[in-house]
Amino acid sequence: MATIGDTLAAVEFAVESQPSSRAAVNDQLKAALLELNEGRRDAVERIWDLIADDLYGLALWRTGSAADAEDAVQEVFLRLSSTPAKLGSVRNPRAYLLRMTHNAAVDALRRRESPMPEILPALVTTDDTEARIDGRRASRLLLELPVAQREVVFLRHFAALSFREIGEICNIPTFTAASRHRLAIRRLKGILGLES
Amino acid sequence: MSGPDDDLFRGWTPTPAPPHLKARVVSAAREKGADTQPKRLTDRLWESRALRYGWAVAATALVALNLWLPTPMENVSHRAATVAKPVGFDPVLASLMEDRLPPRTTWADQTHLMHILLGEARTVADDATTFGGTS
Repeated sequence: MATIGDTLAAVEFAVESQPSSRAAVNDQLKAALLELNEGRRDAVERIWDLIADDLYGLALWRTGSAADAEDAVQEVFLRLSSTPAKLGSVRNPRAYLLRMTHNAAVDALRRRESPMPEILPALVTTDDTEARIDGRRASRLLLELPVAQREVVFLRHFAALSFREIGEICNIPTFTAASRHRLAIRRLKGILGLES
Repeated sequence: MSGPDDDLFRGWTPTPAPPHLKARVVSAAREKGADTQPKRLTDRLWESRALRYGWAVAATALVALNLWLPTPMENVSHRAATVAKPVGFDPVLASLMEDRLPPRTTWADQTHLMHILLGEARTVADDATTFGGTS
């Protein structure tokens, strides 16, 4: 039986095998943030194109509400525009922006007065016909996960971040991030009857 | 990502940001940026964490060095410094000495004697000041 350490090592290896594209995005983000710092406001659009889907996805999975997610993303970009100088020395701007989004989403959850929507519009299909579960069902299953676990699953599977980065974004220890991920996947597999 | 649990989400991707949101957010961010005045150089320097640390380290190092290093004149005795003070020609002393010196005393000897007398006189005066003597 594989230990937790073996599982973590395997997943970490998979994440680290894609450093080039993430590094490229980070480099482009750094350049755009520097332009924004110099007063070139058209850089906002480039930043949007580079990372908006990730930020919106995280906010959506965290809040479970499209309206709250939109507000959270807008708040992040407003803060970017008002204090770009603080971002000049950020080493990993992608993780930093995701952390800003996490914080904005947490604030949005605190402010929320209405109950969670019944079905989280979390996933859309790609052209791949090999989808194992239908999106509506997957979204409903995701709603059954605790918010904190759902967020880690998103950051792990769709933002392709390491557990260390996830820990920094969510302000939790690396081991806690890995543990939340393991529990979430086990729970989803159990619900789907995929557990071996 | 190609992790061991990827099969679970195969064929699915997170909902992308809606197109209408881009226009809203980008225009709002640009307006916010336009409202924000560009910062002055002094403000940017003050907000730089590295510069603040550098300034604090430099100030601390200067204070520490000031306390640790001896001053250049610390090892020179007060008396030696006093004696080494240059003594000029004193006409009053010269007139007093005129009657008491032997008739063939050279000018060089007179000046040397004057230096000794004036040096001693200043040392006595300084000692009196230092130890609080008034008489």
